[in-house]
Amino acid sequence: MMVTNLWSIISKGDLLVHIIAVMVLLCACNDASAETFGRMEDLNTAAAFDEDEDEFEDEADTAGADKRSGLTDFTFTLAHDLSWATREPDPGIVTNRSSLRCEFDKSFWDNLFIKFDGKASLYLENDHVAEAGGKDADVDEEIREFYIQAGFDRFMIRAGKQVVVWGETDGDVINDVVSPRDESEFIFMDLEDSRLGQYMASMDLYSDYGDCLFFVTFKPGFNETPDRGTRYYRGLGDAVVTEERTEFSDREAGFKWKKIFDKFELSFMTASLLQNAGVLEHQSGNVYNKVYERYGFYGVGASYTIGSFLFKIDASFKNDYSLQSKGIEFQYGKKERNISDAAFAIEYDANGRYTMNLELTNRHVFDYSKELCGMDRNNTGLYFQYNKKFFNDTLEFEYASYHQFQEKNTFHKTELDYSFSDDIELSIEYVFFQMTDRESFLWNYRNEDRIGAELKIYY
Amino acid sequence: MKKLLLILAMLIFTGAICSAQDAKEIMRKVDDRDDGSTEISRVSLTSYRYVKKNGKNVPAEKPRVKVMDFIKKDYGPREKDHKSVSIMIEPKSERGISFLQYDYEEVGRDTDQWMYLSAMGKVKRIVSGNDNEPKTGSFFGTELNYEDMEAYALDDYTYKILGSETYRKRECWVIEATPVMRKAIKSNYSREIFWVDKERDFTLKSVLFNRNGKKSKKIYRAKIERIDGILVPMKIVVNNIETKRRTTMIYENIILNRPVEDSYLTQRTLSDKGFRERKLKEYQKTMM
Repeated sequence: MMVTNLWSIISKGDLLVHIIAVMVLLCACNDASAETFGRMEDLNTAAAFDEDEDEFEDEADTAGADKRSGLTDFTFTLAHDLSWATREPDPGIVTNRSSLRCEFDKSFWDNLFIKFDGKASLYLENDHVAEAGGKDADVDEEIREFYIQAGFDRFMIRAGKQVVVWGETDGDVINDVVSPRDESEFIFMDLEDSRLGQYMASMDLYSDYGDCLFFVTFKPGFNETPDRGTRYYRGLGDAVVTEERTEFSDREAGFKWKKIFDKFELSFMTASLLQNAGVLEHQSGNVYNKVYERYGFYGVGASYTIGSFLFKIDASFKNDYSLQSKGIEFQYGKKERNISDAAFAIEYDANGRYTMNLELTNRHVFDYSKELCGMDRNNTGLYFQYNKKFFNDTLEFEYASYHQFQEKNTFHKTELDYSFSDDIELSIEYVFFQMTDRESFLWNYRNEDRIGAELKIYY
Repeated sequence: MKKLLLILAMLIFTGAICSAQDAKEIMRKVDDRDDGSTEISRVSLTSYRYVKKNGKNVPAEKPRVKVMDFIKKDYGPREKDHKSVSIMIEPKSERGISFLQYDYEEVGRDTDQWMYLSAMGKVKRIVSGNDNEPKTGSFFGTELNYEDMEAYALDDYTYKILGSETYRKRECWVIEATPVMRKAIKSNYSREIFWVDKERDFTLKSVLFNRNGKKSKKIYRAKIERIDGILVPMKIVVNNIETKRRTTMIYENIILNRPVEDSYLTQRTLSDKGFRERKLKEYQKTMM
């Protein structure tokens, strides 16, 4: 139709109109040319774009394939960690240790899968762990995970030493109550590295109504605290503390359900657990027993994303949870209370320029009484995290801080990670404390500011 | 005389519309070209900073190499919605990191993304970003940013044919794409120029201009092979002119249009490595 109209114009107009009409007709006939359309300068510029195309030395097309060798199922991480305490009265080297971590996983036959994750550490001279043992060097090893699993289309069962992570938020322990943590290095160990495996049998079920997890723990483990004589040990003077041990017949059990509704995710959790953190109970004289009591756990987690924001909520109710109390003549004991823990978090991504995470947490103790030690009726904290990457993600800066409102205690953590190559990384970290409440537990750590460096080599 | 000027103006205006429509038609053919309903591939991404030496651009540092498995499936009546999983194989320091992504054709609907870090031990939802400003973050440390990785929306641009020329012995349209306002405010680029193979409706090269109008990136698509009847550029080179860095993306292997179960494109695949490996092996068997 357009061509017909144009032709009628051509047939009626003068020469100039004819020329223009012919040009338009050519366009309509899809016969575009540089002379007809667009800006000529663009085309000329474009034509010159090829000039450096062949100037590259062609790198090996199969660089990745060539690198892969027989050890594809293994990842070894060799690391050395060196840190210094920076504040009086006890400045100097705190950690001087090397470690070798081995991670292995492999599928075999049709449905089976095995995973191993273990680490051996060598504590060298001046490291506080070696010094505590009165040795020039000390070694230890830890198997974090070692399990076998059988997978099928709709479900999977897993048995062995495992880590289970629950919850949406990271600032406090709200719903992430299953796996105990290694607190022997106080707050200086990253959350990811601090989780400890337990012997468990678990089953995951995947359905249109949501994903479910059931687990049973045998011989539950507890948080690892600093050993006597090590840098971060804060004991009760000359008190003798005996620790409760679990047997293989001791059990924990739990269940989680999770479903995604478009931008919204919802999960419910319930479990019967032994507390990961122990409570001291006076026996006689200067003898205390550290006990890990059973409690009921009920939790809910949710997240919702819109644009640059991710909103996260964790809330839990812990029934008959044992808390530390301080009685007459400063004797420690345990008091059972119901408590509710909650966290609300906002995560912001500035379109790749940086990310921020802000979490407000609160623990409320029902039937609060003054004898409860190191806590108020409400215990509110604010966790903040900022992360920015530079130079094509080879340099990463992170700042994190945690502020406790009632005790007005704060600590700050800054970290700089640089990867020299695909396989070599260096992390530098500085942690400092601002403690104001003399009655708080953290007051004992007010002089533990520390700067550290860790070199990691992967192969 | 007035009448003549009026006719002239109308004809020029009509001509411009024709050009834009034709250019868009060409780009529609490029966009509609069959790229397979599913893709199962292993991709390597090599990135480095380069310097000019003896007239050649050579790496100025040890190249960083990332290798990942990629599984994608199209959804929707036009197969313009996508679900994909990316699993990092190398380097060892990033092994096991995996991403699940749902892209939607619907204008204004945010991409859904989840990430699994084996160290963290849980699947974490990732914020897709603000739609009112450019996404600048580097995709796995390469010269591609997250905007480059998004599905291309034809209606986000106006098009103009700049001309026709021979590029790599192929007759090509040279087409300029300028983002419309809603796209311009959130794009890293003020315009793009494409070299489109006339015969195969295939973009061989593109040049991207930054928000200041300066040349920013050149993207070359090379080693074009027919895989399962579909044209695939086995090698894509991104040359960042501003940073003097280059990323080469190479398909180590790829199969298209093989069945991929919906259950594979879920969070389970991120966290259950046994399931992921087992299914991937099944899918890859069809490569033989």
